[in-house]
Amino acid sequence: MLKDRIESLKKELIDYSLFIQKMFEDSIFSLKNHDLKLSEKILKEMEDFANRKEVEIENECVSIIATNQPVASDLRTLFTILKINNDLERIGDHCVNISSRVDSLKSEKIFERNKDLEKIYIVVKRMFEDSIKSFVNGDINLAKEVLEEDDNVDMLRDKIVKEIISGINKCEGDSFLEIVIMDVARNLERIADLSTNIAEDTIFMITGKSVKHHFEKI
Amino acid sequence: MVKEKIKVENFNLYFKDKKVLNNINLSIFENKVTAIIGPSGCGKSTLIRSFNRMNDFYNAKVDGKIIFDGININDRNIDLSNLRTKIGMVFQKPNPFPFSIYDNVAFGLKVKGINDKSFIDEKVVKSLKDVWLYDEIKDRLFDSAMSLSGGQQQRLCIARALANDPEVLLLDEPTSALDPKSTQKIEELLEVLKKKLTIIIVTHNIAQAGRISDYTLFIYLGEIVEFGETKKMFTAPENKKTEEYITGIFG
Repeated sequence: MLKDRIESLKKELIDYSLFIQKMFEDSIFSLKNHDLKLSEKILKEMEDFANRKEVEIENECVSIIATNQPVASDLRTLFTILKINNDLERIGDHCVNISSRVDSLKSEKIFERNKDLEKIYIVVKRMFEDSIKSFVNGDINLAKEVLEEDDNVDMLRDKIVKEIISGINKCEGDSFLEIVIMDVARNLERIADLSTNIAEDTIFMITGKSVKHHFEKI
Repeated sequence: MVKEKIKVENFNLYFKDKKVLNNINLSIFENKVTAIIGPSGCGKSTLIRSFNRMNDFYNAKVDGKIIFDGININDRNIDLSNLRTKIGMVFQKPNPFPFSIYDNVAFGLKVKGINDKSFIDEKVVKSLKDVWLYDEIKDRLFDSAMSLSGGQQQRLCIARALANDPEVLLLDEPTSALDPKSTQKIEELLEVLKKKLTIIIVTHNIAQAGRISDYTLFIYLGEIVEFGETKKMFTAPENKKTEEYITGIFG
């Protein structure tokens, strides 16, 4: 039955999101602790699994749409699953970008060097977790909280970039490390954007209204 | 800009003492397809039959107005023959008359007293072309209509209605007895015909309503639950009952 297939696909997506959350935490852990073994695992095994899982969920979603012609909340749920699935895979890509920096850092601890990086990580981690929670529980208020956080992340990222560029201009610090910090901050900011997408899609799933780009109010 | 073709105001319909349609208020828009959906026995067919007074055959009593071209069609002195020419109807089961294909299409014209053969010939060919049937049967125009396939018979019935130059076409589950290919052909045909006509269709097939209609009307227990643009109703219906019906929870 259609409802059972949607429910089962929803569970698959939740499992996938838990995997990507672990991938995200591991990528930051490997960076903080210069854990080469863990970063290798992310680059070789976890990314491969994340890519395969995305295709698997997408295929099932397309198959359900093709064979059941869903409408209304069923249709919105399936489209939301399809979009979140894609967002999760892209978050996985950003985790890969972050992990790929571990090798070049040697033993430098960039999170200790730049305290704003830790701040941005804490906010982004919460946004990502809350966006998934809002989808799982159909919690529109939590989804709205995620949207409100996005500006804070942008501000923190801008602050990091501004300070680093100013330092480089004054020929202060280690330029290579500063560029890595900037790159990690950029990847974190993109994960925040994708978490925002998940929250927006969740609001669409619940209300039928698109809040993207503030086109419709809820 | 959509233009109103039919306006229903505070319309009620009774069979004996039983109220079958309750306080219907509705606008049907010109050159649009409006689908009427709802579970069996909800009043869909009764409502579509109200648009050309077919319920008169079942001794229905009505109050309220159905305004078509500025006239309340429920007025006693209305010319029913003229009304049913302007608002044609096609039923669930193809019902060609036991005549030739040609005579089926010419029937309405002859009833109206038109005897000009060349005019009738032209009208028959045009109507058959309009339903994409002419090329399939042009060599056997005078064969019995009963020799046609189910899908062809249904298109013939549409051609018979078109020969009268109707302004509105009512279709009561026109594809429920047809195979998928014939159904597709009728659906494609409606897409073309709506450029010239206003179409109202009753369907049990939710997916069909989604595919072919511009507006959808959901009726339950003789009352309108929701009416609006199909694309909106099939994405985010306003009413919980509509949501439950179109997603198959009940009905």
